[in-house]
Amino acid sequence: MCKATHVCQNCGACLVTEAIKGSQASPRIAHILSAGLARLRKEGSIFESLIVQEPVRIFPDSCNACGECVQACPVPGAIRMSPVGQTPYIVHDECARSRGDSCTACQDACPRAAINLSASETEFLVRSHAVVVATGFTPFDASEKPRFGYGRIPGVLTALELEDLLRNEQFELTPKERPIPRVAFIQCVGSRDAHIGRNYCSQVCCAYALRLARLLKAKKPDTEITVFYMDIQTFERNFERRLKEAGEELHLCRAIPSEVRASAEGGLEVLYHNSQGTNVWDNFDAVVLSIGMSPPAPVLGLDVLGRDEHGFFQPAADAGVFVAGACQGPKSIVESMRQARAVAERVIGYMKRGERGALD
Amino acid sequence: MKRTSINDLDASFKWRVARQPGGEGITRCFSCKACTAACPICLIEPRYDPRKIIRMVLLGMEQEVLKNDLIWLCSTCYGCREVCPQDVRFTDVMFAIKNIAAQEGCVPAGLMGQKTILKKHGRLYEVGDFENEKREKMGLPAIREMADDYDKLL
Amino acid sequence: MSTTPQSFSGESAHKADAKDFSAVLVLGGDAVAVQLAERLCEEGFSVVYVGEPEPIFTPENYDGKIECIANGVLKAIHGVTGAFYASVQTPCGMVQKKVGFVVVAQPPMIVPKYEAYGVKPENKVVCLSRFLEQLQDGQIGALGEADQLHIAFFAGLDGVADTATFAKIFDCIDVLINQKNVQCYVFTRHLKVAENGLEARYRRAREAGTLFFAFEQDAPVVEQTDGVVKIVFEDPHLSAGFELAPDILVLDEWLLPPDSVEPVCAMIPSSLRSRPYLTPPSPRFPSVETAKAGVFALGPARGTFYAPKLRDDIESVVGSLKKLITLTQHGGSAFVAMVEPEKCTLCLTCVRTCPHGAIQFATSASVDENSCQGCGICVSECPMSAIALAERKRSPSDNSKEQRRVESAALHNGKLVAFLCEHSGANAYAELSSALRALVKPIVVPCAGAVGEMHVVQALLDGASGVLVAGCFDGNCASVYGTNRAAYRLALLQQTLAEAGLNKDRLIYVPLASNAPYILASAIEELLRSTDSSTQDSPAASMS
Repeated sequence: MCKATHVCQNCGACLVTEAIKGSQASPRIAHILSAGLARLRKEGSIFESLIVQEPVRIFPDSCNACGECVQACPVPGAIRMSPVGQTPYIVHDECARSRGDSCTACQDACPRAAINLSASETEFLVRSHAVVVATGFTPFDASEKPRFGYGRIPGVLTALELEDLLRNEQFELTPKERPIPRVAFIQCVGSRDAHIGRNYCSQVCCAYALRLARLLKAKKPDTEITVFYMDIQTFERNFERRLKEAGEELHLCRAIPSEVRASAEGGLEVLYHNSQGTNVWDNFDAVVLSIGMSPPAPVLGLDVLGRDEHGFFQPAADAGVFVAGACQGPKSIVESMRQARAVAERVIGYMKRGERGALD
Repeated sequence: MKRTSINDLDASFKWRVARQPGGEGITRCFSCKACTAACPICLIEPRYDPRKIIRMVLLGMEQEVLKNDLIWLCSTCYGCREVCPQDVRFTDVMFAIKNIAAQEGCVPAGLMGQKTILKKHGRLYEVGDFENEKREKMGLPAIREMADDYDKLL
Repeated sequence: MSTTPQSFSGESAHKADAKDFSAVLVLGGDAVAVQLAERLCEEGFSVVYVGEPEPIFTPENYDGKIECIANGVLKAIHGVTGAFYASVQTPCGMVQKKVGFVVVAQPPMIVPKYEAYGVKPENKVVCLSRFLEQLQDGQIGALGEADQLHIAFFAGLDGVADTATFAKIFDCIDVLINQKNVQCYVFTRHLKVAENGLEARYRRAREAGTLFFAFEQDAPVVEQTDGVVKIVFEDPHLSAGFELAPDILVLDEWLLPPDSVEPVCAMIPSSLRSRPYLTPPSPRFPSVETAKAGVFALGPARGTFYAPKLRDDIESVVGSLKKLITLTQHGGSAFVAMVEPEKCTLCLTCVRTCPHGAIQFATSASVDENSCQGCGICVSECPMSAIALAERKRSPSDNSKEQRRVESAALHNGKLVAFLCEHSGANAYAELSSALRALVKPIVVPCAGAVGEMHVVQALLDGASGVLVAGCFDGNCASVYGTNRAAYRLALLQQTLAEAGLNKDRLIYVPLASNAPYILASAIEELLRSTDSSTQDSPAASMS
């Protein structure tokens, strides 16, 4: 989400939106969405990919976001409008059909016949001279650090969840007996951690935590925010100034807490070693875990990719399969865009060098 | 401010600790303070700080570490090991340090006293008739002092 | 790093100037630049290479396609893509070169931090690059045969540190750990490990016995007396005083942009937001492209120093060059600015304002069609209204789905009119609910900076109840400062409206981003509220 209040915060998130639109507008790029690779074969210099697309039940081109389907649905929350009123989407787990019901309420209600609940999977056979894998990263599962209480204690959330709540204006702090709400950010959750096999820096967490903290402060100025960290990474050119500004707005505490627990009054307590040299249990209303990037899930049907020591994809040597973005190693949005340009040129170089067989 | 000269300290002390079984992880520490925060001893005695002990070893402050009574306060709860992101395994490092201290004869008098009693009686306190009479009254079996196999161990 | 405004050299649009898109000026000086030159040759370009070539660089091997001007320094450059004129100072005099593209690929200016740390460059003190060179050349013997060698590194104690610096330190430690008698210390503030592989190197350094000190407040102080160097500090964890007399003290360096950045910046007006680098610190410029077509910044010229990324940059330059050539042949931006020479008074406002440096002048201002990005800022800045945006002819094969027009707002029937920047506002608008969208007449513009006073006034005259102008956030403009121009211009216009007796709240400027439609939604609602009382018959009033 956009983290700016008055001045661009350089996160690059808006550029993703624009890149998607630009890509969709380009006549030379075919998009197969909600799809996955079932099988990849190479014959000579040609790759043959079998792509399977999930059933497309709501057609965006026909839908005018009138909302009749949401009104007609008997199960609250099974079909929802996106927050800014775009095409609705079906939440599979809530929908009665996932439990064997043959309900067709939304489809029947739609005045533009934009819903087809019996749509089936579609298969595409795509032949190409090269393959680029850019499947991204897996967000670290914070329950792998059980002492922080994620999934166990209410009020402990990941930064990803905080973003969602902020974007939907749903982040509420309910301070107990305390007029001033307090939020803690814990850095390096799932990063720089050899103990759980994640001994690398995820590169984005210092940046996003400071930006989210600043956004939170702008929305709720009386919030007291503490950031628990080890080191702070340089994330942009004006970094020194940003860090100074952060230090003025936030409490930066150079210590990693050992535990989070629920407090008797219903809030949270965090145990850490403070700058005065004592262990303290400090009170907070919310604890945000700055989760890192875990390696990507395997791409089914694609065996040629190697993995590095941390599990991120390694590009195969001149096999025509290229790797780009966070699935190759943790990196920010801007870094992914930077790398993408170089990878594109390498793909072109590869295709020029090799024998290009006929695709048909 | 008093200044300790690092040149006068013993840079090889950390390797001595690292060579002890269990001490290998000491150089991995990057001072995140998670172990200190998890330590139940540090909670009640702020002077006992795992990260500071590691730091003193790494700097080569051999005498300050070995002659320090605080190193004997470790309760071996393994809390530090659970939270350490770099597998320092501080509890085992503490054993390594304590072993070296013992080799150098730097064990606190109280502990030496306990060791003597342990060797003599097989327990940390004497067991006599008084204790066994009380046990009989409560319906508990009598206990001897030195168990056979314990004697063999010693 | 000068802060005085640079005079802008847009003069002499050479008449009948044939463009040459085959020649590239590479301002170089290290192996990366050499690699770039060779790569460009492979792709069929001819290269003018300015700078000291590496010993392995033999220009003769390239069929005369690489001309090397050794010991050359770029003094001045002007022109547009396809026709850049560079003046290069050499020991034999000034050399003039004409090229189609310019790539600033010099290594950074490296300035050791003696002054920053208050350290005199005496014996035992060496700077990091020099030290690493010595180690890699095998000059380990020079370190000495003492029982215990103490080597201290300073890294970013002044608060300025880079992953490239730490990579170099780890490079040094990799060599040093093979020596049995060496103990390394690194004094820093924050460990910079945010690159693939650096954390693992940091761990290896610690496992090899290197001690790291990360200071919060007071940095170490260096005492130099009688040839003895002492580092005096308070250990950040023990809170006790220590001193270390290292056998060698290695200081890190500032990595500064190279010297050809300045003359190149002089032909890019928007460089006032990018200095001392060649690209603005904005995610809109993530790679080698600068705001000016045909000018590229590799690595240090844009603030990137980490070695593996520079290899990527070489490929990116090649790709960007080819893309630009394709664009010059097949159109380019949707719009292009055109000057009516008879109206032009040569005030040079457009020349000095165009963020992309696309405008030159001779007898009148003239827009270079290959450099123009069609942002429209010059159109609204020209005091004589002598410039207009025209739709560039597009090749028939292009059937892009988006329709973009800059049209005069007419007959709005009391609705709100929204001028939406195509990079942000238009995308945000597309995400709104149909109910909100129906309240607004959208006019997509190439940049918020293209919206002039007359656009707004005309819209009001034609019956709009209110006008909203949506552009990118400050720092995120694709034309660098178009959004700032818009904000400034519209704030002045609001004042003018108020002085004319109109409700100034009928006009608002909304900075936003493509993924923040909620900002646009709030702005529309706000505008509806403030225009409610002044437009009683407006259908908008009944909707609020």
